Amino acid sequence: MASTYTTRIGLEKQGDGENANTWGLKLNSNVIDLVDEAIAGYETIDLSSGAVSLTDTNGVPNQARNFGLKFTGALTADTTVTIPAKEKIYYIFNDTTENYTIYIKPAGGTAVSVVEAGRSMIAATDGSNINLLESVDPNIYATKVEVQAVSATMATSINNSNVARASLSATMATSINNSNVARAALSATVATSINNSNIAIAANTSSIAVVSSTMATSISNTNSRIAATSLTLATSISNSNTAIATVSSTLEGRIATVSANLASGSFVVGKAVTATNAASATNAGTLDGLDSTYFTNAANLVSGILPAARLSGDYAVNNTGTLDGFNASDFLRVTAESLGTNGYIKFSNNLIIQWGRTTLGNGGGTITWPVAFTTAVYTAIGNDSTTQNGSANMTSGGGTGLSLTGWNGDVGAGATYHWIAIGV
Amino acid sequence: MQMFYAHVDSNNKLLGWYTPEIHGDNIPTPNVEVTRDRWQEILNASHNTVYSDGTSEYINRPLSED
Repeated sequence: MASTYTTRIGLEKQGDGENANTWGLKLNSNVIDLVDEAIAGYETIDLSSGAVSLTDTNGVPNQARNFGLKFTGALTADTTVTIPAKEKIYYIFNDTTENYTIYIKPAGGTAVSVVEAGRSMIAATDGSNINLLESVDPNIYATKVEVQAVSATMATSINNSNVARASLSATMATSINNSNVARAALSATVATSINNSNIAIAANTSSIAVVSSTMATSISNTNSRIAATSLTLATSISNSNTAIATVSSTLEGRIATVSANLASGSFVVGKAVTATNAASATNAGTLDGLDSTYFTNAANLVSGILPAARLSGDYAVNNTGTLDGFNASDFLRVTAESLGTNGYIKFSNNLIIQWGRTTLGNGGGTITWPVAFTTAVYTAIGNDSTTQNGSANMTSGGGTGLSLTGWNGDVGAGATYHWIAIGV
Repeated sequence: MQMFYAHVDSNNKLLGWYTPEIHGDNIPTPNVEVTRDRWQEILNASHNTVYSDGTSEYINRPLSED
């Protein structure tokens, strides 16, 4: 009887009585070694060249019998690994690169995706379909830890937020309450103010009514007084007109009388009117009411040919008129003077006469004029009051002529000089 | 009030008398201003020296020394 093979992993089952003297060797190589391969074998499958169908031969080592499959190689496209359509469990590790998708399927069965590179999985097949048990993604675990940490942080934050919100709510409630209180107080104040204003307005309205009434009464009284005053004024004006007419008539009569007097020679120009005449009924008012004493005072005559009469004792003529045809400048006047023991007199023609008494010491000295001559000294004479004949001893100062400011007296002993000088 | 001005030299020696009534603004300096009464006093006393404070005196200055 010939050998047969198991349906799943192809182990040889020798027939009875066969393989004399080699049965043991075949058992070792075709069964025990293959069981070892099926339980612990870890086969590397290179997928860099594309799709692969795992070898599946009975009684000899093959790829499909290994428990572990390690896919390697740089993929250039998605690729498929085909396994035998037999029941089997595989451990698969994806060690390829370039991030293409690997599919695995039983021959004639349905393909499923192998886990991404770097991960492993357990694939169990019934020969048609495959069920997967994928390894846990390390990133997912890390993510879980991070999520837990974030959750804790969020929980803390939420708790803190709740606390803050509660505090804020309390504060807001307090503020709202305070605002309501303040608003109520303000409303009360405003209401009071409005009430007071209304009271004041009512009082003012009443006062205005009283004032209006008073003003109406005053206006009425004023109108009555104006009417009465107007009537009085009209009467006064009428009386005044009557009086003016009477005065005008009287003046016309007096003017006629004066004109008649002038025509008849009752008034003579240059003849003073006596007080009796001025007051008489005939001449009254004809000379502006002035009596004769006014016209006998020459000072009252300020124009015409008569002012020359005012010259008596008055130097201030100053060209205000003429005296027999002469101007004031034609008369010699004193313009400055100082009368005393030592003195001077200056005339309007600038002539100055000076005199004095001066006591000089031994050896003579300078006599200083009471005022300096401005232009020249015409002459100076003098004598001393003691033993000298002064006239002979008076000399000019320094041989420069008679000084304008003074004069030298030359005596042997002290003496008082009586002197007089004339100049301009 | 009429004022008089004593024109003096650096030794206060009286050089001449001036008054605006006669000399107007032509009054030489330095000078010492005195009142009319003071001017009369100085003349009557025959003083030939006038000081800046208005005081005066006679100082014998013979012509031979002048």
